[in-house]
Amino acid sequence: MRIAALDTSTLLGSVALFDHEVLVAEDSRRVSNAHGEALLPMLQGLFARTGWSPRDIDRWAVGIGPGSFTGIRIGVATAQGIALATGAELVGVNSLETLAEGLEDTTVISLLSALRGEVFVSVRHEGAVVVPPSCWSLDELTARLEGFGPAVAVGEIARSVDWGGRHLHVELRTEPPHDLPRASNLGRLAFNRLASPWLEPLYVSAPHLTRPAAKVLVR
Amino acid sequence: MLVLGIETSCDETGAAVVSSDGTVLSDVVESQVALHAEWGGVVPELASRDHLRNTGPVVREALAKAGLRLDQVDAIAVTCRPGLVGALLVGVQTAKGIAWGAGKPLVGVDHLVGHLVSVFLRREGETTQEGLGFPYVGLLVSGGHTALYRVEGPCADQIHELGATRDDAAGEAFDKVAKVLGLAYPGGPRIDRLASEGDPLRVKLVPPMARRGSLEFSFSGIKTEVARRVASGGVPQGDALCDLCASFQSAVTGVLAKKLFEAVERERMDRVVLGGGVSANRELRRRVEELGRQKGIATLVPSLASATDNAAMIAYAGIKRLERGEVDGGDLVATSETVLEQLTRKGRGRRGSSPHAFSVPRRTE
Ligand SMILES: Nc1ncnc2c1ncn2[C@@H]1O[C@H](COP(=O)(O)OP(=O)(O)O)[C@@H](O)[C@H]1O
Repeated sequence: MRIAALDTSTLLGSVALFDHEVLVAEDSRRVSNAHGEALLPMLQGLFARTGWSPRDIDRWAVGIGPGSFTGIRIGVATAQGIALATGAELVGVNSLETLAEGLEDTTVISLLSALRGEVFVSVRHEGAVVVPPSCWSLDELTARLEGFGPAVAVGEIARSVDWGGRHLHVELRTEPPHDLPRASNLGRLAFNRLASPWLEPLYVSAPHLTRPAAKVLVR
Repeated sequence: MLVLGIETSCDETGAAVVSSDGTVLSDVVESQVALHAEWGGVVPELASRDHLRNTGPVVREALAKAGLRLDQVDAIAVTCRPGLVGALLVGVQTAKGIAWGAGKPLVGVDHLVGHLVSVFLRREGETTQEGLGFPYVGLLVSGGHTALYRVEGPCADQIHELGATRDDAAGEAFDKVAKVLGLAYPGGPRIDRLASEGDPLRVKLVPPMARRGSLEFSFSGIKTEVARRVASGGVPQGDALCDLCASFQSAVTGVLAKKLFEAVERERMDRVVLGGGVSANRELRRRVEELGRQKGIATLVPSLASATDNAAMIAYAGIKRLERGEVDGGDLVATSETVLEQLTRKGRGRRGSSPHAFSVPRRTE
């Protein structure tokens, strides 16, 4: 089975190709909010390098968040368009899970930045998800995790958390591929997943629609 | 040439298949009106989420209705501007994915260009309208735009703005006045219906910016005037409601028709074309046709399905770009601004027109 993986849920644009669980090629770049312009050229570059064509791909593995709403939609829309054209399968993968992939530690805290100084977080303990994807402030994060045993934290935002303030014993693993969700990690997770006919983003935090100051278009 | 068009610029997810001669093989529109109704306007984040859910199914339905497989279409056209960037992005990225996956060319289309050439579409049972061709003066009147153009051909660089609204679009004025009068969204068609039973002379409203010589419009004043009347005298009922609708509609369509023909005179054209949802308005059509007859000017109005937001007009405008050998790459971007040159300065000193006017959101009670 040939898998193409992509993640655009953070400022990192990341694409990778796998042939039977073997990573064949990868490209990851900090593209900030320019995923719309960057994603397809990155894919085209990777396919040119390997000599593959879109029709060679059996399955598209896509980061469905949590993360930037717009970024996630760019990845999902692109993959859905490709799958519509080629008939490939789709698999959605949680970006917090992608960050923690490959670590065997007992307790892993996955973190990604959200808007307004908040973070997306999930915690895995002995292979089970004990904190499902959530969106918390940094204070809330350390307060809620107080008392957690020694843990490993992934995601580069973990460096900005004041773990010591609550006497949390946390070891940071924020170097690649655990800095931001990378397609090389994501693709590995996608081999044994069930495919779905379409992808629904994992938005987690509610959109801020009710604020009277929010800019809303009224016709 | 057969082209698949995709449209997600505002609150309609559309996909259509159109051939080079304007024949519409299929045209699917999934409206979000109900989704946004409780907010009293289009909420961008909700619009983007809904487009993402609907684009795939709508494209599949358009292909199925046309009786075609994707490999039987020659290219993909997609609205890339102007509009809500988050909403546009869903269509643009889906289109890029489809085009790359299927090995087909991709072209981005300006939504306003689509509206201005929608009269060339031929749907089942429709024949080509007599006198159709270039050049013409185009009046684009929709919920988000109101402007006059000199249209020399079907591509963006052949379209020149002559004047536009300085504030609200005409459709927006219809919708806002309808809201003040307690009528459901979208209010244009409702006002149209009520006005047909009213007397436009019984309520006196100042015609909006009817100053001769300028081809610019302004519709926010008349909207405020109606709101002031309602605030002091309450919402009129029965005949009085019909009379007020008739006055409002008469003032708005009067100035639209008048400036359209001023533009025709100034540009020495012999043809006018309407586009956008408000061109469905019966009084506007009647006035334009009547003036056209008097002055010997051909008047061409698209059918209702072609006038309101749809992907068939996007496919058609895309065909015209493709015929010139133009294509876009995987780096095509979604942009909130039109590519058409703009002359009219909008209120608040900002140059350029937004896809829809901004205002503070209010939940409708
Ligand atoms: N019969 C009518 N009379 C006046 N306005 C109308 C009529 N039918 C539709 N409209 C208006 O047309 C607008 C929708 O047109 P459309 O071209 O779909 O807008 P947009 O491209 O801005 O979304 C709405 O503002 C609606 O009220």
